[in-house]
Amino acid sequence: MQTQTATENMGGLLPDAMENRRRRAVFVSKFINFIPLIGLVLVVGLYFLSVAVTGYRLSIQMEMIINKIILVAFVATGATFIFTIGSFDLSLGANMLLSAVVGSLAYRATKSLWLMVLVCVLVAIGISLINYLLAAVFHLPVFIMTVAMMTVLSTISSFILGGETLYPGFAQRGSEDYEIYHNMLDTIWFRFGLLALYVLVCCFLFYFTKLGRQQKFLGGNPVCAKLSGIGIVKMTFISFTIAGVGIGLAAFCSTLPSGSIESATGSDVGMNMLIAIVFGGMALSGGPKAKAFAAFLGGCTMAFLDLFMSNILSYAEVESGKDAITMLVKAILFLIVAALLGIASRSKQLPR
Amino acid sequence: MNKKLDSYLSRHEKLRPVVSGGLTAARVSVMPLLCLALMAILCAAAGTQLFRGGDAGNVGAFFKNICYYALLSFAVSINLHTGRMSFDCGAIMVLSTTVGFMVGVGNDNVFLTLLVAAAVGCLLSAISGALYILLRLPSMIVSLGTTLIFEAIAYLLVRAFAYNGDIETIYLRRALTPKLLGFSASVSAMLIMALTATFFMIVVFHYTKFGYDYRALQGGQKIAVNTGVREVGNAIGCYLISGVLLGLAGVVNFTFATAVQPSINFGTVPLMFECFCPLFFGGFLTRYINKQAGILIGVVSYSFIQSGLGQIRNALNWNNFVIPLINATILVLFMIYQTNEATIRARVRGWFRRRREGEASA
Repeated sequence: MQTQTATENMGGLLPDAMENRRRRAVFVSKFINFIPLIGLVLVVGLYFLSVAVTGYRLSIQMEMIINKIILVAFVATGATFIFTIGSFDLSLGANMLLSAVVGSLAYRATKSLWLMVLVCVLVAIGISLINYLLAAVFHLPVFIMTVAMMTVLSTISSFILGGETLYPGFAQRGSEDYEIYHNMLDTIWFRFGLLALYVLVCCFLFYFTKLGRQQKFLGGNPVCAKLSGIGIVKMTFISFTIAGVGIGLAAFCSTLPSGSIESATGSDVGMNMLIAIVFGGMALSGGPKAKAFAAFLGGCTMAFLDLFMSNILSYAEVESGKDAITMLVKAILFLIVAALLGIASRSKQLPR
Repeated sequence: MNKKLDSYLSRHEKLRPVVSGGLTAARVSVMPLLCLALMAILCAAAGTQLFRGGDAGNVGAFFKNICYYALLSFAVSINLHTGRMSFDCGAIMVLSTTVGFMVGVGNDNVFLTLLVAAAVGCLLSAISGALYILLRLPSMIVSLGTTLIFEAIAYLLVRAFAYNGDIETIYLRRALTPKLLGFSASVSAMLIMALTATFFMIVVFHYTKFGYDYRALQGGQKIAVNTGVREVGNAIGCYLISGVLLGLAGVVNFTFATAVQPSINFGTVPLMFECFCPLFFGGFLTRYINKQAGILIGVVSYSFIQSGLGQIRNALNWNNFVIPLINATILVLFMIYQTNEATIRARVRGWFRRRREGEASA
């Protein structure tokens, strides 16, 4: 009787067929976890092939790739903590710009690089916590609230900049910090090292402390998490603070390549980080399947893809609309990756 | 089946008439009148007038704003209110209008441009909806991809068809014949479009089976699907209507702005954020009237604010950044009030009660 009921429950399948189906499901779910990594390896392989064919200088291109990775990966890795708890923030790019502007002004006033970094991080954390206050204390709808904050922050930045480029001054010959800038800050290894350190700290917090487990629990089931004694307000506060640190460091790094900041700096970071997170294999809805490493992985994939497209389009002598064609390819690949990642969690009802 | 849904809907969302009785009419007219009065006072304080001496340009901009915000708000609200957040509304608007203008080059025909833009908008929105349904991913994720695709196509189209030496904007500006330019400045045309769109939305979402299904899905997706509501068909319908409205909104906006600038890398996303304030105003008014009429009144209120701020900016030589900052601040403050209304009211009542008790004891 029991066997009959079990068979009925599995849609009338025989035990062997059931076992095959179970094995296939396990394989698919395991395979899906590797899709972002396979994608990255594939794109990196194609990129090196394009370099070999075109004969472009790898050292220059690697610098461009790392510069592309840095801003998106800093912001997106921090944002992972926000997304994991089921929250959302679209204003991170605007936050980064304002932090960079205020940090640059602080450097101009004090000529201290340490103070500039500190101001960048503190302003970013401050803005992040304002978002947290509006979301957690005033219970505002997060999406709309962050959209409004995005407008407020970018408008304030534009107002301060007044349509001009702001030069903090450390990159100019004759400044006190020129040597430090030239020998250390302006090297890709310094920026990449800083990013690697931040990603490693985030991964440690996420995978090896109870913070990560609590955040995933909260994102997966807020009611159960609350009943289990996890402080929602505390967790949200920590998430926005960690994200603020990443945004602050990204703000500092955004001033380094050119030694200046303008209103267009990082304008696409806010949206590109969403793409990076999905490319890295994490669902934007957060929860137990969140990955702290996803943003870094996705950022790398996007940067290598951009340069690969640029190389082959230049080789094919396509001069007009290169950016648009690259975007088109990126969008199609993004949809394919998102569809593959979503195979295991397809529901009967339409997702919301 | 509809009887069942009626009883279900009555528990979740009351079917409110467009305007029921004088008291409701008085209540809903408070918001636009308040905005009108406030802006008139602020304009007077700044040494100008809200509608300076019947200035045709200013009046035209006011009615264009009503039409544009109404079309955009309806389009965005259809999917937003059912939990489907799409970033591609701006991209659909830009691409459909770009194609509309391209057809309009050499054809001095407003209706043809509107028709083409609406049809292309409908097609693009249908593609976005079809991807959402096929991939079964949250529409926010799907729309990230479709936004990039539509932006890239618009950009490539304009570059491909631009005359030698033209920059993109100038090419599309050539499409703007006097008739097209006059269209969005015409008060009657803007009013007719806004009222027709409102009437259409009210009929479709309150007096048809499609609307009943939509509201059932909005209130409780699982129950509605289990009771036999066809969710996929309803979602596709929503995307189609939204696309038509976005195409029309694009023509209205870009003919008034005398340019459409195809931009890439999510440059079109902020376009859809312009309607959030009217949507929240409309959401506040749904306690008195139905949603679509509420949105229209919210749009009128918001247009008064925009006209007033425009006049003040001109009078005081404000920086271009001030108005977006004020708009975003209004949105945040209004959201804080709307979300915490019960708490704020209780605190204000408590304050008055304590004051009365204090006076009585004194």
